[in-house]
Amino acid sequence: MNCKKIEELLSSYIDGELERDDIIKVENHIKECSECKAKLEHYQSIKEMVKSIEIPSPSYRVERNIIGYTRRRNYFLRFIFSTSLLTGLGALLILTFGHTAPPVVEKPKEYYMVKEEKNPYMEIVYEKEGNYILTNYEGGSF
Amino acid sequence: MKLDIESIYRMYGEYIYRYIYGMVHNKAEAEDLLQDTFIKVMKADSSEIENMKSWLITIARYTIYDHWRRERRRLKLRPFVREKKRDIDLKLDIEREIEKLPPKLKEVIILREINQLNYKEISDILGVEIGTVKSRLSRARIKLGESLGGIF
Repeated sequence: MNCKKIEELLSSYIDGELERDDIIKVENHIKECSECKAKLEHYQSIKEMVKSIEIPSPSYRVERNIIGYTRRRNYFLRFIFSTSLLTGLGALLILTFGHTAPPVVEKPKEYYMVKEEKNPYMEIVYEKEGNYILTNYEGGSF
Repeated sequence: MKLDIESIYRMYGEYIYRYIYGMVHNKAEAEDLLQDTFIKVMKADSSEIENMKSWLITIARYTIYDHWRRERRRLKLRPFVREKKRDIDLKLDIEREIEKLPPKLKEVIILREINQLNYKEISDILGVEIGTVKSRLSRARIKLGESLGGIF
């Protein structure tokens, strides 16, 4: 295997992400090729350098903001939930105890007649409820 | 499923911050982006999380890319406003060289070395094949090797 191909494998080799066959290829190659061995060592040292980069911790302000935000949000949601729960409960109470339905009494229908002014052959029979039936003089409905 | 943001922050906050800081290299900017990330986490649908670490990094990644996109748009809309020089805190040569890498190569190096993720996890976060992760990492290391060592 030539050096170019091995160089492509070196990166995965140092990450321990190579298949067994490729590991053997790389290891056999670097035994004989000092240039690729030097490259491998160089990449390994770069890997260590990157890992050693110091990264500061986020300041306490961020933690306070994030956790404060969640708590405020939770309080708000709890408030909304509890008020809606109370309202719902109140409505249920009113529906159960506050409302007594009047007894249903079937009223007899009452009619009275009105003469249609524009058409003397037509009469309108009104029900008390406001419905009306059109009739002619003989009393037959249209 | 309801997420307990407080415990998630305590468990992964610093870990996610390391990724964000590695990408932007500025403390104040990274802290703002960490906050934005967690606001998104609170609103996100968490019903199908397989790997919490990868999921959180994916959200952080979208947050960073959104931020960069907004910055670019803002500068395009106001071309006469001079771009504020970003205060990048680079102490070591290696940090300067990583910062010079194209974003795609920089990102794989950060995810691999700073966040210690394996290739499968990186490929899930980036939405690319494992082969792509391999070749990007290899290219990134070759570039870093050339600029840092100068021996090849």
